This record gives sequence, structure tokens and C-alpha cells, in this order.
Amino acid sequence: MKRLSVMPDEWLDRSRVVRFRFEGRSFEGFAGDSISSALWAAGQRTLGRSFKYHRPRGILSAANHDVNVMVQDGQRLNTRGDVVEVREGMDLSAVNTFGGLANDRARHLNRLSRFLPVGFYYKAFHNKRLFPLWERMFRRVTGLGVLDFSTPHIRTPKRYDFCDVLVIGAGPSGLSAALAAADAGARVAICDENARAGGSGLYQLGGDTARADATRSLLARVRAHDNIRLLEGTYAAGYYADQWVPLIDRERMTKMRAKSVIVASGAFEQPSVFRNNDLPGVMNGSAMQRLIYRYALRPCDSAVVLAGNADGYRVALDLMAAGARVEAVVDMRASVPASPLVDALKARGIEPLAGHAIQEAHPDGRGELAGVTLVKLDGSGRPVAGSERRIACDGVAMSTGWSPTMNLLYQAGTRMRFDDLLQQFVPDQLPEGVFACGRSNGVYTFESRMADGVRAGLAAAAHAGLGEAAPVGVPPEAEAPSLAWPIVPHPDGKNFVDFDEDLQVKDFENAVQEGYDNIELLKRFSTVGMGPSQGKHSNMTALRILARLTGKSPQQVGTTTARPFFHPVPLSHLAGRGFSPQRLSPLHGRHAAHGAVFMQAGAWLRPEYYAVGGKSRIDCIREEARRVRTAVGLIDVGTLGKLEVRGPQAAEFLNRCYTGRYDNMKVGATRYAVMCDESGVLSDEGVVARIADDVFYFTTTSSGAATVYRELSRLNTEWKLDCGLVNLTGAYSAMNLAGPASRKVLSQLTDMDLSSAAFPYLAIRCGTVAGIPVRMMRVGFVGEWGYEIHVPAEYGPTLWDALMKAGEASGIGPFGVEAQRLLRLEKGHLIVSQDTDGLTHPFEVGMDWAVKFDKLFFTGKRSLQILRTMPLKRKLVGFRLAENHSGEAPKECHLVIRDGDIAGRVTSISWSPHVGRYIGLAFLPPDMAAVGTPFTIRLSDGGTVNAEVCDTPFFDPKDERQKEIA
Amino acid sequence: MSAPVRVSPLLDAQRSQASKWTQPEGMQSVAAFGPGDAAHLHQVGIGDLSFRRRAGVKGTGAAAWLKSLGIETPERPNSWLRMPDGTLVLRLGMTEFLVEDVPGGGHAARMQATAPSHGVYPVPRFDASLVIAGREALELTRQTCAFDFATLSPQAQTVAMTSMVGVGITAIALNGSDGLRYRLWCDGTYGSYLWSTLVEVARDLGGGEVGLDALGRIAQV
Repeated sequence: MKRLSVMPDEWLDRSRVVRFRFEGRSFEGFAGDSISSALWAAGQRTLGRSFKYHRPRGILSAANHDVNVMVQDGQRLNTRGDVVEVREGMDLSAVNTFGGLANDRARHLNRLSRFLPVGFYYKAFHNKRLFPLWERMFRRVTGLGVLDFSTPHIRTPKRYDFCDVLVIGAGPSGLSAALAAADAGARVAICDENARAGGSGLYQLGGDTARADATRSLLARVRAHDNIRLLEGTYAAGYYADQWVPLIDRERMTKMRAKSVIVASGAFEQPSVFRNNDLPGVMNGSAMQRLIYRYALRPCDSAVVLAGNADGYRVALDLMAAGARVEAVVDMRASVPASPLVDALKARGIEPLAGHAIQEAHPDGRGELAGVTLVKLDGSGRPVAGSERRIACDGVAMSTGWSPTMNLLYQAGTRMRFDDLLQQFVPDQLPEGVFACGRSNGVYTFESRMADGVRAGLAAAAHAGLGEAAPVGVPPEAEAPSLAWPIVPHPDGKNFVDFDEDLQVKDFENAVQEGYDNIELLKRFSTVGMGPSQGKHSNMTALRILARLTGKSPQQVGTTTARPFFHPVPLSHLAGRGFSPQRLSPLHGRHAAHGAVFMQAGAWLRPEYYAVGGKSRIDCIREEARRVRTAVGLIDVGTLGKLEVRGPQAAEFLNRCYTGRYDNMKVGATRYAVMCDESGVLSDEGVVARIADDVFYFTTTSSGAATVYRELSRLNTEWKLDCGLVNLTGAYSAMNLAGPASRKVLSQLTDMDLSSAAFPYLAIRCGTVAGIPVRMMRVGFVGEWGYEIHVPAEYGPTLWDALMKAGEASGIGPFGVEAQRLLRLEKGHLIVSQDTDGLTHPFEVGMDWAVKFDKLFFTGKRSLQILRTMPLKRKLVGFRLAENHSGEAPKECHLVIRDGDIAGRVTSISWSPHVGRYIGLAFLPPDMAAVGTPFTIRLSDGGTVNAEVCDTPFFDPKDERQKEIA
Repeated sequence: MSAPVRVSPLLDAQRSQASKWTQPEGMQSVAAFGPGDAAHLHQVGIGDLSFRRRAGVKGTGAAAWLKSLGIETPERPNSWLRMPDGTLVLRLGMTEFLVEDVPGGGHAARMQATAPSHGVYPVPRFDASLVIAGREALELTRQTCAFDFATLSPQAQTVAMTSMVGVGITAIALNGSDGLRYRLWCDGTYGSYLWSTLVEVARDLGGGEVGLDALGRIAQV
């Protein structure tokens, strides 16, 4: 191998020498070199070890499929050497070795390969007890790089993008398609996974520069076209519905939404299968051409070309143009079709050996290619005994066939058919908006590919509403680009089909013999196509083998499912910047200033409690509760759902939505509201307030706000009542001023009449507080005289500040969600979804009184009518632990046990400083629900605690706190 | 008693970065974040226009009711118009409208003070209201929204209701002497998250938050 003089389209920047280390040795390359090309240019042919047998491997495709040449680059693992550009200062090591690449101790596995056939681990390591041991061992032996858990989190941005036509693949057909679509007026984006566009048009030349000239011309027009964006180094990772394609570049994922998608992604060259076809020095013909024209590198000094199509002859001519000696062109076809390529080769003194093959490649002392044995094939493709001929060489180019890059087409839902002439699958029926051209469409001739691109480009633009599809003649292929059977049998095996997984021909024979005789089963048993290259160089050959072994056609065998992603996508791209919307109350800053410890409550962040220096969490919570009971506290309840219904039939609307009656409410009154679903299950609750004859303002639970609004909007549309529903949840801030001193505090800020007569318990009044327009309700969720004040959100912080200032002399303080939970529990008030579940109906929680069956209709009525005739299965009751209880207390969801069986569960529990013992709510069977009934609660550790049913409320059972005398 | 102070829904997210305060229309807002405001605006700047007074209304009688108040309405659903006095009127769907005053305007106050007629349902709007301007404005939307803002033409006066960083927003594009800018409105309780996320992305793009002083005329029209 040798670095060549400057090539016209090389990717190298020869002005910049790049120094790096590989396996502890120093190397140099040029900027633009891939890791593999730089190493190859330096004479390093063994670049990695194989996955299973740890065989030495070199370049195979130079096209992102060389998974045996993965290197560790510091914290970057599994870097693909064949495509990743070498950078100054890299310190690289091959993955999957024990003791380094040259002296890999696991290389001896190669000699044990006969004991390690496909599927051996299913048979040998199925003992459950020992499986973890084997699993660890195999993971170590077959490891792919070392993960450094201190690797920093890279916040890779994602972005969306849009175009009329997305072209995937910037080879001759893709470039032609892009130009045709853009000329029709389409905004075109064209991407190519390679660092530079042009595709095979710039490296599969056959020694003739006309192809490269034509491709350069296309490229120049594409770059100059105002309607075209060329995205190099960018691959389409998958296809999702409605032409949505994630594009991956070095920096990020771009989610491209296109009106039309053209798949011009070409074809993967498939390795031929013969003994030792994996030795460093044996590679695809196209890999050699990439090395020559992209990296200005003669891949070998003396080559044997194994051909099965016209491309093999181009490889031979390109090698000769690069100064390599072509020892032989071996064509596996029985006869070689006449062509200018063949003539050109003959003119240079090379007579193709038709009906011949490479039977075996031979390693030198380092395990790298030193020569091959040629053999003549008989009519059935088997070697003719005695025809063997050995040739020394340091390079073998395999050019016997292609497999179209149809992954994205499959993902898009394309129906494919196997074309016997082409010996490949081609699109039979494309989904709407998806188009194919070039090799992925079964078109190989250079001029035909460009014509096919124009056809697809016009059709794609027309689908996007621009221009018209026009008939473009694309001549059929005259010669098969792929051999039907590129396989040469050998009794000693090591003729590899899948280089990722070290699968040989005999592995497939064994699998089929064991009954894994369809493509999906074969894949799972043999793991073909399950390695990092995802079968790009192996699936088609595996399919051919299965077809032959089962006597089916490739069409009958079919292909496995193609799923995203097309190439591995770095986790940093997937896990980069994510969006998790957080909802904050207008008072959030006030809470933070008070030292709030926040908790997530649905989409909201709410103050769990307010931390005080030197006090524990529980002490803070109890102090907040004590302040409400003895002085005054302020809590943000702005997370409640807040809705308004307005119109002549507003009351009727609420009557239908809730179980209670609202048409008989007086203006200025509030009423508790229970909502059920159609099966009678309690789904939400709140307070309904009548603002005017035709205006109701009502609240929902915080977590139910969005769902309730959505469902009520649906019902309003369905029922066509004369009323309108408005969601005010975000537009209004709300806070509850509660405690014996609440009225005193409030009276400083308003001239509203706060007397019990003018503003009784459960009333709503509109007025101003601190000059701010308010809707104010006297409700008692926490069991104290209090005011729930609703104001426009933009005034929330101002009102909060005013109340806190006015309450200073009364000892006011904020209280959080936990204190509120304790206070409401003392009053025996339930919380929907904590003290109820997805089956709870109102009768189980003592809300019979809230269900008004005298209404003509309400949601859930029919179910509740049935349920009330049936005996209760459970009942929500209050309970308490012994006054002197010590030790661990039960927690919410701990089970009630009777006679060894589950009888119920705790839904709420807390120690009440005001009651002086643990109190709670629990679901119990009705026969255990009588006051005074003892029962047992099981703790997490299996221990038990005794409790007894008691009346609720636990605190202020006569609601004295709501009366003027209090 | 002096008028109570209005507080921007974005204030909590802005407080730690603010260097100068102001009170346009009685709302506590950030006048300046720092000396880089103008540069941010050139690259990609995000400003808070929540101080503008606005009101909403919906229902079958909404258009006629607005007309009775002297407020023009767009003919097409999901479109907007600017009244001669600068008032923005957005038609959200078939029968819902958002009216935003220019500073000193009185349409929103009149709407709030006028009893709705039959089929008219007032929709209080205390949104977080943002403006995005600068040469990377489109790129900012590309990194935060699946909707193509390039299709929001100021000439077509289209309204988009979509999701940005997971938050429901209403958006329009406006032309200004200094180029295209986008106006966004969202529920104020999601405002802090939207603001913080957009600022974070904008900083990646060389921009960031911009106070009202640097926004200058952009904040006024």
C-alpha cells in the first residue's frame, strides 16, 4: 500500500499532518483521513479483532460497516475506524481484545471454533443458577469497548426542519433527483452519510474519469441551486409516518418533515464467501475504490479481483490506475459478457478467468493475506478437484454483488419483490409520498441512474404540489449486478457470511438442520444481522443460503423486519436536550423566598412545606398546621382547576355534569360538587359557586383540571346547551387564608362586609382586597374559618404580599401541601385519587348525600341507581391508633388484614397534634366499619399494628370553628 | 389607595438575571438584563411583553360583540389583524378572539368592563407574552417546535396554535423595520418554563434574554 499523488476528489487536506496513537504506537495521517485509511497507509493492516473468534480483521467495506474495526477513543467507545476522521492527538485502542490487538489472548478461541458452533450457548449454558456467571463471562469476552461512567453529559440539541422534498443519498441518482425536484420549484434537502457528497460517481470509475466529471457537474449544480440544501455527513436514521425522517449528523438529530421523500441510498456491496475471506487484505471492491479515490491510497501492491459483475472489472482497472499489479481477474460467471470494460482489461494484458473462483485465502505469519487458491467451478458452482492454483497477493477485491439499501423503504411500508434478473429486491409498490431511484430501485447503469433520479425528482416534486411528473425513459439493466450464489464451499469452513458475529456457512446449515428454517427464526437462532452492522453485508447472503437449503426462492424466503435506526445513533443525540414542561404558580417566587421545599404534583411544583433552619421536616409541617389552628396561615391553592360556565343553561349543564343540584342554588352561594363517570366511579370533586343567575364559577382537583375541562367541553359540544365553558385555571391565582385570625387579617385590606351574616360559611362574594378584584369563598377544607381568594393571576403575588404583611401582627405564615393534608384529615375530608381509586363510587365514601337522584339526568346516574341497590363491598372509614402507640406507624397503602387475608387498606394516615394520636382513613369491609371495631394493619416488615374504627371528623366535629362564636 | 402592582408571569424566571426594573402599564417588568441585551436582540433575543393588556372572548356572539365595542375582527379563522391604533386582534379558531392593546390602549379594559351579551363568554387572558427577534429567531423555533415557523408569513397574517418545548402556544409573525419577529402567547403558569427553556437555547445560539429598554419600539408596536 502506498499514498498516491493528489487525486481530484480526495478527501485529504495534505497541508495538515495528523499525529495519533493506535495500540500504543505512533502514526501519522492527513486531515480528512479515516482512522482506517491512515493506519492502512502506514502499513497497519490488522485493525481489529472479530467478535467471537478474535480473528484479525482489516478493512472490509470502508463504508461504515466495518464493525470489527471499532476503536476506543478515550471516553468515546466503539468508534468506527472506517468512517470516523482521524484527529490530532487521538489515542486509540482496538476494542474486544485481551492484552492488545497483536497479542490478544482470546485469539486462541479461533482454534476452539469447532466447539463453539452457532447456538452453542443455548445448549450449554441454560442452567438458571449458573447463568449469571456465564452471562458475565460472555459479556466480558465479547465486550465492545469500556464505558467510562464519568463521561460528561453532553446536552446535544435537537432540531426540527422542513422541506418539500428530502433526498436520501447524494450519489448520481440522488443528485439528479434533487436537481429535477428543485428545478420544479421544490425546496429540497439532500443528505448523504458520507463526509462528502458524490457517492459512487466519484470512486467507481473503472479508470475512466467521465463518470467523475458527470458527477462533479451534478454536484456543482446542486451546490449552486438556491432551492437545494446539501447536508453532508448526515444520515437518515429511520422513516416515520408522514415523511418524518430523523437526520443524524455529528452534532445533533434533526427531525426532518418532508412532503416527499426520495430514497436514493444506493446499495451495499456484499462480501463473497470463501475460506478465510476475512483476512486483512481481503475487502470489497468498492472499499478498494474508496481508498484509492477518497484517500489517495493504493490498497495493495498485488491484487486478485474476484468478479461477478461489471463492477469487478472497474475495480481491476481502478487498481491498475492506482499502480497496483492485478495478478488475476477471476469471474465466477460461466462466461463473461462482452463489454468495453473487459476489452480495456484485455488491452492491458489481463485475461479474465471465467468460471473460476477463490477457494481459499492464505494468511502470512501475522494472519494477514499472503495469497489465494483459485479453483475452477463446475456447472453447479462447485470447485473442480485438481484445478487449484495458488497465487501470491496482498489484496483481494470482492465484487460479486450488491444488496440495495432498502431499510428506509421497508420502514416506510414499501412492498418489495425479488427481481430474478437483477438478483435483488426492488420496490414493487411504494407508499404515497415515497419514491426510490438508482441502485435502491434496481437501476445500476450510470446514465440510467441519473435518468431514474430525474424521474423520481419530478414525481416527488409533483407530489409536493410543484410541477408535474413526467415520463422519463429508464432502460432496463442488461446485466445482473449480483450473483445468485457468491459462495464457494470449503470443507474446513471459516468462510464467513456475517463478519459481525463470525457466522460461517456451516452455521446456517446447522441452524436449518435444527429446524430454524424461516428467516425470522434463523436470524434469532444464528444472530445473523443482529450485530452492529445490522446485516448490511450479510442478510442477503444469509437469505440466499436459506433459500437454497429450503428449496425456496428468495421471494418466498422474504426478508426480516427493518426497524429504525438505520445506523446506530449516539445516545447523546437521543438523550440530549429534552423538554418536560413544568407548571409554576404565579406565587412560586414567593414560596421560594419563604424557603419552600417543592414537590411535584402533576405538572405543578408545589410547596410541600417551608423549611425553617434547625427544624426537621415533620416539625415544620406540624408548626404550619398549628399556626393555622391557632392563628392564621396562607396556602397557595392556585393549582386547583378553575372553570366558569356562563349562559341561560349553565345550571342545567352543571346538573348534568355533577351528581348534585345547582339550579336551585342562590346567587352568592357555593356547593360541594362530586363528579362521576358513566360507570358511577367518583372521578373528581370541587366547589361550585353561583356568581350570577347565568354564571357559575367552579373548581376541580389540581390533577383533574385539564381532563375535566376537556371532558366538559366535549359534553357541551355534544349536548348543545345554551352556555359556554371557559378554563380559568392559569388565568386566576388562588390562595386560602385560614385560621381564627383570618377575618381580622382580611378586614385590614377590604371594605367588604365580612360578618357571618353578610358573608356566611359556604358563601361567595365578589369585591376588592388590597385594591385587587377578587372572587372570595368561605370554605373550610382545613376546618378553620377561612377565605379562598381567587384573583387575576397577574395580581396574585401582590395580594400574597399584602396578606402576609397584614397578617404579621397575627403571626401569619405560609403552609404547604403536607400541612394541608394533615388539617383536612383531621376534618375527615377525603382527597380524590388518594382516598379513592379507579373503582370508588360515592356510596363507598359516605357521599350518598351528594347524589341527587331526583334530577332527570346526570353522568353516572344509571350506574349509581344500580349500585345503590347492591350491598357495599367496602367503606371508607376513619380510624385511630392507640393513644400510647409507639414504634413504627402504618403508611398509606398498608393493608388491613383479617384472618390472614387482605380486608382493606389505609388511604391516609398522619399523627395529629390536635387529636393527640395517629388518625387516618381506610377502606374496610362494611362489617368492620362500625365505630369501635378493632382491626389490624400490616406493616412493610410484616409486623402488625392495632387500630380501631372511629367517627369523623376527628377535629371540631360540630364545625364550631365556622361559627361566629368561635 | 394606589393601583395594585401587576406582576409578569415570567418575573420569577427573570429575577436573578435582571439588572434594571420598570413598570409599564403597572406591571413589574425587566427593563434590562445587562449590557448584552442589544447584541442578543441582533442574534436572537427573547423579550417579555406580558405587560401589554389583553382580553379574550369566545362564543357565537363574540365577533358581533367585539364589533359593538369598536374592535375589528379577522374574517378568516386562525388569522390576525392589526387595527389602525396598533391593537392586535387574533381569531383563534371559529369563534374565539384574543385582543391585545398597544401601551396606553383601552380595548381590553373596555371588554372587561362591558357585560357580555348572549352567546358571549369572556376569556380572561393573563398570558405570558413573548417576542422572539434576531437573525437566529427561526433557528430558535427549529430547535424548540415541530411547527414550521417559516410558514408564518406576516403578509398572510396566519395564527398558529401549536406546542413549543411541550407548552401550548399561540404564535404569529410580524414584520418590523429590523426584520421578522415572532410573538408568542402561552398560559402564564407555563411561562417560566417556556422562557427559561427558550433563553437556554437562545444562549446556545449566541443570543439570550432582552429587557424592555433594548426592545425599544418592538415592545411598543
